[in-house]
Amino acid sequence: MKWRTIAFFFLCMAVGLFIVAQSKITNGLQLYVSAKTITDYQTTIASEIEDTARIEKLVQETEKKLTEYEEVINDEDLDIKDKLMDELDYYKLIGSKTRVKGEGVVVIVDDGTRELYEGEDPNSVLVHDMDILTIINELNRSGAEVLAVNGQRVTNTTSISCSGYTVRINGQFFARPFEIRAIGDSKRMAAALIGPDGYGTLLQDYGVIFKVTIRDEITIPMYSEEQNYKYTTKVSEEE
Amino acid sequence: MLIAMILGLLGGIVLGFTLNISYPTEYSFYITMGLLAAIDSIVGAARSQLEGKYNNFIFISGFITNAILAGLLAYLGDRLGVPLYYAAIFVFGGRLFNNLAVIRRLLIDKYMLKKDRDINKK
Repeated sequence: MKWRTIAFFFLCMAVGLFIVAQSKITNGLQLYVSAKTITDYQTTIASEIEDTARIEKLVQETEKKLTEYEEVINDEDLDIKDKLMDELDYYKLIGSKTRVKGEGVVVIVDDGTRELYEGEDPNSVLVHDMDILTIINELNRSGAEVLAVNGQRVTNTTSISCSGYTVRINGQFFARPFEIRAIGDSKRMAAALIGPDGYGTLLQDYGVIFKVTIRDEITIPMYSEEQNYKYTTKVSEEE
Repeated sequence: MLIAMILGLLGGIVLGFTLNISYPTEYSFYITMGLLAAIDSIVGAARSQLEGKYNNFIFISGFITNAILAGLLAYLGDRLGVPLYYAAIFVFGGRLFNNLAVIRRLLIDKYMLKKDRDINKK
């Protein structure tokens, strides 16, 4: 009789204790969640953790930059504004966000005007998107720094494609003639195009009109569209 | 007997409020399972007590094995992604009501018997 009373007492005490403890912890909230919810939360948590790590890295980088700026501020000889403006100018230049000028070449390509041979495909005297792409490639190969086709800046995401009688550049349609401007070593670029094995010579042989002029100063407009990087993120150097 | 149970329950509640126990929420599953096993054992013991075939050893061992099995089921369910602890909840819950019904009947029988005796006495 004694033993059972003690056992009952302690068991009942444990029941009361844990009922109170449990109700205190859960606070009436739902505890029983399905396995799917748990996995969902786990995915969310993992992505949040990744996000936090990314942001922390960003903070570190920004702090590094901040100390750099602070050094410049503390240096009497240098002006922080100048450094910032220099940086801004540089980023604008490489981001196609500013008008640029310099020594370069102007290439004019137009459809041929010669009589066709009997049964000849008229395509052989027309300018195609591939011609423009090849010219741009040749110019880049010979040291062009900035390029534009019919006033459309060639950026790192520029596409040039055929669309019937017109050519589509940066999503806009252009018809002949095509004027390609390139800033860079003008003599080298011109030589690469109109040399014996140059692509310009080949086009001229086909009957396509192809002219290269060397200019001391040409201006190239900025790229006015917005440049969005939706899928690309920066990889930090530690990774 | 009954006094010990009520005292224990009250003491436990008071202790729970004063001690301020806390444990990670992950374990609350297992605590709940143990709680259910304990309640089941107590009600089962009360029934066997009324039936007059109570055994201390059966009571304690039954409580321990039930609690362990319930905890194991909950853990296995967690691992497998299937709510296996339902099995424990249904079994314990069902038995709780069963035992309670038996206790009620026994108590009513006792009461009736006593009443009859009282009437016979007069």
